[in-house]
Amino acid sequence: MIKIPNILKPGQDRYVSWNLIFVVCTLVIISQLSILTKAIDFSLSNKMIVARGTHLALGIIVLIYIFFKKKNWNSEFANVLFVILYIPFYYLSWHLNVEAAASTQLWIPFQNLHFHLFALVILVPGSYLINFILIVGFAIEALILWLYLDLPHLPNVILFTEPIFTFLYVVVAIALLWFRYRDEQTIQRLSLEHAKAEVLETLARIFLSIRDKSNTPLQTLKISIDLLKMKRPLDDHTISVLENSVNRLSFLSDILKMSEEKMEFNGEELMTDEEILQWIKR
Amino acid sequence: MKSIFILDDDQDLCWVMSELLLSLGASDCICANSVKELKALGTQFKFDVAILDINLGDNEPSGVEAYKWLIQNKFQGKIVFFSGHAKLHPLVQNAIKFPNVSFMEKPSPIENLKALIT
Repeated sequence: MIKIPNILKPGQDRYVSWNLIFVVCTLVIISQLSILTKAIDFSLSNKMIVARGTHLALGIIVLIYIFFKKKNWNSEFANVLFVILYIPFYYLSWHLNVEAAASTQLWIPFQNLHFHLFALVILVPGSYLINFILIVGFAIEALILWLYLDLPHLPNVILFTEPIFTFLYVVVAIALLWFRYRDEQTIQRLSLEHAKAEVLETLARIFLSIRDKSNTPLQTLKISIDLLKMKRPLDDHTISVLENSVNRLSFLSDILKMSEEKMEFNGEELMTDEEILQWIKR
Repeated sequence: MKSIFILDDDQDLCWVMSELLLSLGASDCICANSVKELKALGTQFKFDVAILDINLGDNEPSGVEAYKWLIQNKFQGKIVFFSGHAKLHPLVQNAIKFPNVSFMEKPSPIENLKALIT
């Protein structure tokens, strides 16, 4: 009848996770569309056109899919979709930096990585662990690129802030992700405590209503015993037995009375005892 | 000795209280189970003490309505609200804010009831 509501763990809110997957799809579509239509000034190799086009198609397919699945959305599945949408960014990021290094144009490396690190802190549709792994993945990719491309010795690379800047981005991203996770856990714990308190208060209210309703028959019994004592004083044992039972009932009622003094009644929402008892019977 | 009026929707309680108070020396004891029955007494209402239950049932006028009717009809006697709710309950708090009333909580010891008629 009364149960503590199921408090969601961090990342389990189905509405939040669906909305975030929608945002990620939109980001993928807009970013790849912009690059492919050369709205952003990129020189693209044929391999990159195919790769970005595939990523764009993937974003559109997932976007359509999540609209079909909206009513039966599974927050666990959001993790899978998020990984499917984000893994291609590793490939694209790698080739972007490799092709930039091979060109003659001046460039600052890892700019795109900084954006992804920022995005992975903000967009957590499912598991925080997955976002952490993705962040570490980009950090490892940056390290491998640094070594593989021998960036310090490339003539067209502007490095006055690297590798410190990217290292700081990774540290800050992990720290922010950790703080977000810890905050959600705190909120979840507080929500659970609040829900438990509400359930206990409801139970207390029910017990007190039952107690209040029982006070009238208890009064009747007490007066009846006094009347019996007056009218049939020789029937001591029967009266004594009755009195003992009534005293025990009174004792139980007094225990509940002590809790009533701790209750905070909100007059506007107060149900009558009859309404509460009807609610229990449902 | 005093005459007593008891307003309570519980007929058993009305009966035992009436028996007890008469046994203890009350000159008269009349019961009613609702505000409607109280109003039906009309101008015959001449009692020293009125014991009014607060909660008279779902969708029924409460003991507070009975209090207001008594005051309108210039009742001069003592009015005692009598309830199964504790004193801190909002229904009781609303009732005892009226002037010149007292409150007894159910179940009340016989000494409290005896004090009403002395």
